[in-house]
Amino acid sequence: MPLPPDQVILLVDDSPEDREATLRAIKKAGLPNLVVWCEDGDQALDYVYQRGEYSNPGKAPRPGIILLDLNMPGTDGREVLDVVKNDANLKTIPIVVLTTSSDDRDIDAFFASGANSYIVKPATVEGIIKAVQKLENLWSFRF
Amino acid sequence: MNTSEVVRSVSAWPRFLHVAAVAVIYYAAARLGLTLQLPDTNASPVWPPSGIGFAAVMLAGYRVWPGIAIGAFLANLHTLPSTAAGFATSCGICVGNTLEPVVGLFVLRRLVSVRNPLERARNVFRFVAAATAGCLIASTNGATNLWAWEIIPSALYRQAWLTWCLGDMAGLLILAPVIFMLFQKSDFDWTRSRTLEAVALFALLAAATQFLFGDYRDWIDLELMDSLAYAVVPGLAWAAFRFGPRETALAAALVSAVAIVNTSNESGPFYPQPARISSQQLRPTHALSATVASDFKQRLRAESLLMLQIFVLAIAITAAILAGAVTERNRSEQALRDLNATLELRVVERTAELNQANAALERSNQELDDFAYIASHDLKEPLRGINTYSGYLLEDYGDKLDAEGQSKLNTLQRLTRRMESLIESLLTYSRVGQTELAVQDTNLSEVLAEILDSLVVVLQERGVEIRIPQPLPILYCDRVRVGEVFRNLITNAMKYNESPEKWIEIGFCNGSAGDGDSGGNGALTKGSPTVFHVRDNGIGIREKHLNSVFKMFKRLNARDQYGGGTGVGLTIVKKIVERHGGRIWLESTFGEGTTFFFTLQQGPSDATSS
Repeated sequence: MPLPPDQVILLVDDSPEDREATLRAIKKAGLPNLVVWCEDGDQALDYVYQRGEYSNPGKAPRPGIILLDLNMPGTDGREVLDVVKNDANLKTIPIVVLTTSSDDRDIDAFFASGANSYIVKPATVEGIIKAVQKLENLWSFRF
Repeated sequence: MNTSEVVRSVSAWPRFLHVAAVAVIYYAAARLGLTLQLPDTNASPVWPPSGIGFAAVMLAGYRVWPGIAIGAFLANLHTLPSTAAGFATSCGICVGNTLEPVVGLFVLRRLVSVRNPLERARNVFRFVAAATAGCLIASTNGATNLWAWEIIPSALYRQAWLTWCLGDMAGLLILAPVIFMLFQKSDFDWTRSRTLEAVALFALLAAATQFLFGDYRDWIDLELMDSLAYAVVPGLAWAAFRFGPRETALAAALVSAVAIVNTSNESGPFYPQPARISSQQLRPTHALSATVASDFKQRLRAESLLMLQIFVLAIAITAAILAGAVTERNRSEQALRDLNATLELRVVERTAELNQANAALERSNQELDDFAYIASHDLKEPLRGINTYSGYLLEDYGDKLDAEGQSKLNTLQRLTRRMESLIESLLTYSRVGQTELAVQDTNLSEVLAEILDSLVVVLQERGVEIRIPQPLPILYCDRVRVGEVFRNLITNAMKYNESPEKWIEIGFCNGSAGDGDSGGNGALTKGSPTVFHVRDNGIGIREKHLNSVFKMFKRLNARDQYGGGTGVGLTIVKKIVERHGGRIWLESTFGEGTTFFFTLQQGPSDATSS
């Protein structure tokens, strides 16, 4: 079962160029979902906890998937991953790590901290499709 | 007031005080010497002024000679007849008496370079030689003067000369060391028990000498007593070994004094009793006339004088040599102890310095690795942007560009990809240094099989034969990293090979037991590094390039020859091997092939598992 089209995709990445590449790949992959962009970890946490500028629940619906860059200024992606995966309410949200490293050790570390999949940057159509396909059974399990 | 202050205050006196003091003491010593004359000989067994004179020049230098001259002149004037001849003789003798210490000191300074000649056995011998030289001059001069001014007949010249010479030497060698040493700084530690021991030693020595030389005929067997003079020597050895040259010289002086006083009182082993001699040696037949008996008695006394002098000289020299040797030994021991202490201290200091330097080096290495990691991460981000945006240009506006424009964009993309792979190599390299090794018992045969599996297609394509003479061992190392080492070396061996029949051999030998029996999958001998090799029959490397193959981004061939590459592979390989505590090197013959060797230490798998 693919990602439900009404689910929001939360994209957390500080680099506008990388964001551009990811958005482009999502569009090219034919996903109709709304993409919300947060440019650092703090903003991302505000979003998932519906705090600050996202305090209106209507403005910040629970994301169906989080695409998470790890290296960001301030609160970085590892911390976000940690918080979300240790929160009973949020941990079912699939998280796809956006990484610059294809090193096995790094990948192992992502999975160990709870990531569900990963995309090596820059995100390509194939990368997006592959990562999302991996998650399909997750959504079928949840719904 | 300690002795060093004494030395300072003595040398601070004005010269005339020195001279006057020497004159007075010299004169007093001469008068004392005259009281020690043996009966019927008119000669003293020891002549204390010679010791005073020599000690005076040793302590205050040549400049005190007038004091010696005055003291000697007055003493001789007092002894000799108050005639013109007596006056002239006094003048003549006083020249010799003055020359004795002056020449003696001159010789001593030629032979001994240090100020104190009594602290080394070798220098004590030289001191004796210098004293002898001085005494020979004084005695020859003295006897000649006595004879020339007809105070003694020619017949007595030889005896006068000998008595004079031995008396001066005895006086010099007994007294000069004592006086000289009393003015030397001493670092001897006078503890209570040492003081008590010294008192006991001197009391015992005085009592024993008195017992040996005194007149105790009524109590003890005389014949035995006559040959026991040497029994004082252990006492002197005691002084030498337990105390210093000063105490030993004092002990020798004490023994000499007791012996001389007793002998001049007509007792002791060196004063044969005429009664005993006549009863033991002159019996049974000789009937001696009074004159003959008197002559004989005189000759006996001359002999006893000689024996006493030789005894005093013998113990003085023996004691001084013993003390010198012991002092020398103690000094060397102390020096050795000091050296050891300094050495230990220096080792500790050096170790600390080295540790500090090591820590600093480790820190700066770590900082460099951190820097490389962060820099490469941050460098990659804009590069990625350039790459993706040039990609968008091609995708979105490709149809609006002509062929040349498209080709230029393609070149731009190729260059960014190349840049990225260079940065990626840098990142990999720094990560090798940065991350902890995941060491575990690793079956290297399995690791090798996996690598060859992943390379099987390309190996077949190129027709490379893989040779593995014996299965690789199990080693405690980082499985992934060591795998990278093998992969890199095998890939290189494959890439840089143009032989028609290509082969690569992967093998090892144990550092200590390279006989092959230790091979197989068993654990290897602990502590000995295992030497692995990857050998090929490829293009080889020119000798001048052997040193640069491990340098980062160093390629020996044109960029696109032999399948390209960033030139960082061997740098990473070297770093991995070094992080395992190993070493990597290579042997190569240009055109024939290359062998890379690297060592891996059998790690502390026991230490961590237990």
